[in-house]
Amino acid sequence: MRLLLVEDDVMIGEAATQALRDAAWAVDWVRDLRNATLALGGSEYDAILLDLGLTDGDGSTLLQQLRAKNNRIPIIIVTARDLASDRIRGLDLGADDYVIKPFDMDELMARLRAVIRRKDGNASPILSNGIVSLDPATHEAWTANTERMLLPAREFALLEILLLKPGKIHSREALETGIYGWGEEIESNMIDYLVHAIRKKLGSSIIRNVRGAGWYVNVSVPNAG
Amino acid sequence: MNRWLRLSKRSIQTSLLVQITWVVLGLGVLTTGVAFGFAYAEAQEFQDDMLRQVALLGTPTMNPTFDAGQDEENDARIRVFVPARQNAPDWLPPRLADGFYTMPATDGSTNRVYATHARNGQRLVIVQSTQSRNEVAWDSALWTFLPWLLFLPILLWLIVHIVRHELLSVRSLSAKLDQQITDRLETLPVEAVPEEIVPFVDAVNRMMLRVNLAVVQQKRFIADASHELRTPLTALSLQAQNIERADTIDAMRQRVVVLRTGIDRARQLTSQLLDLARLQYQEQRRDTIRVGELARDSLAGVLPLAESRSVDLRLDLHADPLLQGDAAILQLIMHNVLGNAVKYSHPGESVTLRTSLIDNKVTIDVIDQGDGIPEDQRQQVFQPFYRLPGNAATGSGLGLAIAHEAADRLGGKLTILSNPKGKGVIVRYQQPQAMMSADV
Repeated sequence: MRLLLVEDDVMIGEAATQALRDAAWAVDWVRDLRNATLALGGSEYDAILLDLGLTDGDGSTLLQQLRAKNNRIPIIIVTARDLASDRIRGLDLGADDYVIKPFDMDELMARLRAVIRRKDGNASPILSNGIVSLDPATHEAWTANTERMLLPAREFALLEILLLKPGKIHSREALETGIYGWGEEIESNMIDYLVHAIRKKLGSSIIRNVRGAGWYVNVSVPNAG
Repeated sequence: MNRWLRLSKRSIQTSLLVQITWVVLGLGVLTTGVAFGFAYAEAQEFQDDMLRQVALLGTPTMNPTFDAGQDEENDARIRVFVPARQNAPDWLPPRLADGFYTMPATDGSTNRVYATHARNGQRLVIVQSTQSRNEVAWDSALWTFLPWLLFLPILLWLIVHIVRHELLSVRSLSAKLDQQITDRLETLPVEAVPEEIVPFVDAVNRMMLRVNLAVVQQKRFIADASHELRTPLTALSLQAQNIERADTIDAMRQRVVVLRTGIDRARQLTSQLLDLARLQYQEQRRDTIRVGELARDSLAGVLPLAESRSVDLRLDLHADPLLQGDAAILQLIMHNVLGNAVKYSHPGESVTLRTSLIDNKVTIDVIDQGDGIPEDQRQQVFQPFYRLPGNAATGSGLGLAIAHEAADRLGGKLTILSNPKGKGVIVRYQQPQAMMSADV
């Protein structure tokens, strides 16, 4: 899952990026509105964490611009402004959630998962296609034949991307952008390695491959999983 | 007595009443005394004239004595004696030269005596008791005093009435003041106030405007400060959490280093906030400051920061004057301005501290070669927590605000000028020189 973090404070930006990457998020961090707009023009994001007080303007202008273009990307405002009027205004402008600094990172990530889940139309917090199930909160995966097991960060990230849109074929590049943030070194054949590791743990038919096109998981099967 | 004195001192009304009563009574007594004197002299003269006329009328054939009046009490009888023919009272000296005399009788009363010769050469002595004369004089003096006594209560009533009436407006003003809410003071109306009190009300109003301004600034500062305190706290909580999540000891060590920088930043913000608070509330000392010495110390203070950023520090002492004021506060100005200049300089650039005398004012310039400050933001940068848009360095935004506040406290002025040599700015502190001059 790829996140755009818009945060002007260097220390918070660095620490938040670190924490999110530890939890298998691909994070791109920008410090102002101009670079946020550039980033949004260049790649697809699953959610935006938006600070309001930025050096070249207020984060809410970006929010307004995106919603005016009918962009439905989940946006969480993360700010030190704690007045009720600020929160109301932020939510009314189209933010999906509003988190006040200082915040708890676990809570922020839970809120992130919630807004992304809602955007995809899933009510259940567990991602599943009926064959394999994944709990984004604990990074645990299981099938009908295996116990719950904890997946390492990158394996979790890959399976999460696939399970969010079962049946959709994801190219190598698409998977890499979903797993790696800016500045993270992409190891060659990493995707092949991760797919192999997941298949070994959960069963070889879990992830399917279309040669030259990419990888996918099967569309949901009712009464299973 | 004590309480009464205090009361008369505090209340305009009481003090007016007491003082005017004394003045009226004093004046009354004085006028009465004068009136008595005049009336006495008048009565004396008039009655002497009467004696003289009786002497002219008096003949040897007349009765030796006659009564001028029947009033026993007043005893205004005038008695005429002819010493050659009859016995005069024994207190009367047998031989009296012509003229008026006042002499005591044997019964203790005082008498006015007129000795003369009648037209036929006969000697006459005319005697009248002085008691009646005094009574006439007293009566006329008392009649002058009486109006004063009647006049006094009317005057006092008038004063009470006028004072009460005039102070009504003051009372309504104080009622208005009592109703005021302290964080938003409204100025008092001056229309209904007596002219004498207008300057006082004006002064109160000016003070209220100053208080209002200070309250607004204070509120904004508290709002800003609570906002700004969240930023380092957020960083700290994330940095601490990241240490928990580290997989290896090495990763953990690295993250502890990051946490340290976060703690340093929080500590710096806290101490700067304390500096600001102290500036506002602490009493100032009055030192004689050697500017050159303080400049050297200040440069030494920022040396580690300058070295770590490869910024060149220079000292340029054009003058080594003396200043009056709190040395710690001047040090605070220099430290913050220098620190700011070094922080926003690029590696290889220089920061110069220059002292000079301009128009008899001690002038301390901190000259940098950095990106400069746009002219329209040179006042705003003195606001607490203000940061230049697009500014990359992490600072609390308090440094220049502290320096500005400190300059105000010292009675000097902090301004930002363009560096005439192109890049960067000059942050200039100016303060009038102390009386004595120092040897360089």
